[in-house]
Amino acid sequence: MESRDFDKLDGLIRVKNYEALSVEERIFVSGQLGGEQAFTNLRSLVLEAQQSESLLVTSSVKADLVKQFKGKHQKTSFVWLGYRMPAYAQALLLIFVIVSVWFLKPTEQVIIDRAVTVQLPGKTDTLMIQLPADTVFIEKRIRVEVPVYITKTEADVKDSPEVIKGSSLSDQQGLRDLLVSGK
Amino acid sequence: MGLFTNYSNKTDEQLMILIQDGDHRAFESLYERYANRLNGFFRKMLWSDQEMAEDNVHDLFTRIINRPELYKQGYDVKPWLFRIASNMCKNAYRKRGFEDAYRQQLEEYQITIPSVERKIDEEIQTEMLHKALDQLDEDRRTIFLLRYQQDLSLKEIATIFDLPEGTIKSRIFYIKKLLAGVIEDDENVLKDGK
Repeated sequence: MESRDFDKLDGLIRVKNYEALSVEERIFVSGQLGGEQAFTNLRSLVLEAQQSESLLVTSSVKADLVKQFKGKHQKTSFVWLGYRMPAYAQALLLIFVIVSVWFLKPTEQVIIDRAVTVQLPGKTDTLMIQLPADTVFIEKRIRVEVPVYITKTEADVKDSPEVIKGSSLSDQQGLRDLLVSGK
Repeated sequence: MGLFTNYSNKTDEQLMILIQDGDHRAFESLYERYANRLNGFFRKMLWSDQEMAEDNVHDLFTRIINRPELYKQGYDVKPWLFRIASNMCKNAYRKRGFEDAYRQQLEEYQITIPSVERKIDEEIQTEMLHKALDQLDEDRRTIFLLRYQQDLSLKEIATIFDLPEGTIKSRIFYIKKLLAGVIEDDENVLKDGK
């Protein structure tokens, strides 16, 4: 049987009643199957088969199968975002995530109250604005001890007025008295 | 598999690979695509026994769960599934030695049915068609149902039976002639029995 004839007969059986066939098609059908009755019966059989193509399965069958499937596959592995992972890898990943979160946790934010004066035309008011810590100025007094050395040059002994050369002790005493008393 | 995977866009073959990786959503998707069709096929093949048909659907998918490695990459899933189904039907026939018993039953039925009615009403007509199909041997019935019930292509049927497409085509043509002949014979039996 030619491929074209096979497809043509198949098509006619599926879509047309015998009454709807053209004269040419009826001749073709007679040649292939032998006549109207054979065509009609075969068509009934095909249509009946098509109607029974799909038949609803009880939902419990699916539930049971899915349960079986999960039972078999989820004991040792776990599929996460498209990747199948063994149980130990899951545990390691979990630990890694916890540790990462712990260390990467942001430090506590310090809120500083600061008074900001805003000048409005014809009106003066004070707004309290809470801002996160910005620049902090710390005033410190630092006491530093620095040793200071002063150098003094002594005058030449020869020029000292207090030493009078060539005089006795009594002369010197007399002279001192004179100078002190001013007489 | 992934939380955000769209399974409806995946081909049967992609789903099977995911099933082999243990993806239960892929399994559910494949089940949704084929369970009802396989049920219809089994019911027609296994003497219109709904319970038996569902049992076979269950068994078939259980095989997929337990032996997913039986699917090899490169297979077309649809013919692969129907080949399994077809083999299961053969096993069912063999196991119960049903075919002979069933034919015997049909013969008895044929004697009681005619009920001397001349008019072949729709119900009797349908029944006759069932009989005509049941009287085919299992391979022919399988081919007929795969072609006209499940609407499989010649290529897919050829894959299932591991035969050339031309051979399948010839067989289908022969089955059609056979069925047309069987039906005419049955009608003649009824007419003669009036």
